Amino acid sequence: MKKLNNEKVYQILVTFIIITISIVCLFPLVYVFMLSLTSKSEWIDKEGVIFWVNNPTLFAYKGVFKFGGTIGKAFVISILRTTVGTFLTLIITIISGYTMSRKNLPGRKIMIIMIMTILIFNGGLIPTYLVVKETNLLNTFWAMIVPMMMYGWGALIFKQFFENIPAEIEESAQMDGASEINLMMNIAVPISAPVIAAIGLFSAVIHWNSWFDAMIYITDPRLKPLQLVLRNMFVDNNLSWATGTMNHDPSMLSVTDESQKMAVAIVGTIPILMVYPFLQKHFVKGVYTGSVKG
Amino acid sequence: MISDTKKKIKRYWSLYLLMLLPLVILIVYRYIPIILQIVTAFKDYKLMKGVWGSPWVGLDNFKSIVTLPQFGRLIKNTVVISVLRLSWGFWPPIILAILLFDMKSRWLKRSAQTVLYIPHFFSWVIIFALSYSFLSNNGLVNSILHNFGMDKVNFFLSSKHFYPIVITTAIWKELGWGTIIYLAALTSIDTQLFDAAKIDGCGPFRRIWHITLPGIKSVTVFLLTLSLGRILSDAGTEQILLFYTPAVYDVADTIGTWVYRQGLLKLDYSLGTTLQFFQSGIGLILILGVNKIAKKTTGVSIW
Repeated sequence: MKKLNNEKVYQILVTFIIITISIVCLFPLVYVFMLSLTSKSEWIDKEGVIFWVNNPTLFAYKGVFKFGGTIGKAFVISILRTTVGTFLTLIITIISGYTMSRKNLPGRKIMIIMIMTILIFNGGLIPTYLVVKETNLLNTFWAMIVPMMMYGWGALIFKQFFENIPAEIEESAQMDGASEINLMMNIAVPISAPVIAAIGLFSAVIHWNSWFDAMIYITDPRLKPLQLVLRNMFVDNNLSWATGTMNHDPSMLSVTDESQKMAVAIVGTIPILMVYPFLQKHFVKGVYTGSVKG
Repeated sequence: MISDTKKKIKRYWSLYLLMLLPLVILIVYRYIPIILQIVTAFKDYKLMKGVWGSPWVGLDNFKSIVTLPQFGRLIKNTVVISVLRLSWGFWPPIILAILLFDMKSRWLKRSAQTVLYIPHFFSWVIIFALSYSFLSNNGLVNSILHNFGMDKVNFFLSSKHFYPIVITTAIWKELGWGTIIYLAALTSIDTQLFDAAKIDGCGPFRRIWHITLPGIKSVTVFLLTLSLGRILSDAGTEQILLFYTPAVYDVADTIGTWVYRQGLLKLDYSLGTTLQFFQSGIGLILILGVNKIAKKTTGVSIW
């Protein structure tokens, strides 16, 4: 009887701890969202301690998208970078994974070693920068795309998946005279849709979240992605895109700089939160299978 | 033999053709930088001459690095931050994974997991923004301090607060995500063991000690080996570049951040590259060494 009680106490403890940690995980996000909805007068009234917003306002969000256009343009660049980058990464990664999965292909081993090596070694910041510079990508959109196209880890996952395709399916297709490219396009790719979704989502998140490569490769303000603009806003305290427009519209004065910044931060998380349900479904499965096998 | 090879090439030529583009990208953007890193470490890089035109200088760059006034500080900060990350960040996901695994309510477990994984997908910029909302001069913490009549604290300019901020935000970001690999290991434990423990009257803590922890031993050793091997490799450059200010360089400047400033802001390519070359050399030795120890003591190897 006593043991049973132990188990009950333990369950209560577990539930309590997990709920507490979950709240800690979620609270900063909720807080920033509330802050982004707070008007200047309410902020002053509450002396900056905002646990609930009585009169939420969307002024900060209007400020993000309506005026100047810096944030809107950066958002478009980020979306473009994410879609184009993910598409090209997938093509390169699928081809590499498929090649590595062909057991009779001469040169297959070299390819596998070459891809595994880049998971451990990299040339470091400056040499990579020099290559990007020498290949004339500096200050172009492609500087954010091309160096990231070879996604080694993704290629190895594809290899593992393609290797598990039953040989009979391929053999019968080969009998019908299918070429290697036919096999890849008509058999390997269609049945690996879930893996493509997982790797694609992974790549998309990496692209959406990247800012450092843009900071070192891009100087043209029109090409800067949202995360970099966001970084400049917080780290360099550069609110010029907003203050410049605030002078034109007195109603903008009704939110604080803080709320204005937080609204941009929230905009920076929206795409992630939108795809999150898919992320969770595919990622967790991907990590599970990857780690159980590995 | 020869005709066999011919047949293969005839079959696979299209694949070779397709492979051309990935191969070029792999070589140009991954392998050439590695070669450049090794070469530049032994050259006095001149902007106008490029890597190949610049003069060889033997070990001069290494001497300059070691005699650099900041050298000791850079190594120390890199190691200290990595060790703090490891000692504070390594065990929380293990405990959380065990708690999640033991949780009876499936519904609550699923919802908690949904919430716990979210921070992993946020960029460091977003996480800096969240920290800013709490810790800036007008942030939540300072506003509360102010309301209680206390002095405001300038968190981002204070060396004392730098490590707690960096470590806490890193744990916040990866705590939930870090549980996945342990949960995967836990689900592969034979459930009969748990049933037997129940019949024997084992309480939760004895059950964890005798069944759960041994069940995740090898994955724990694997991850610990990787982290120990990386202790000099990366203290989280991307995160530190956002969180540090010149006021806290004494505790915050690491190899990665110094290489960025020296190389890309001051355009001193030789020293920056040499330091990173030095770093990857030590890193390789470390990971091989740690792996050997792990293999001897626990039988777990990372490859």
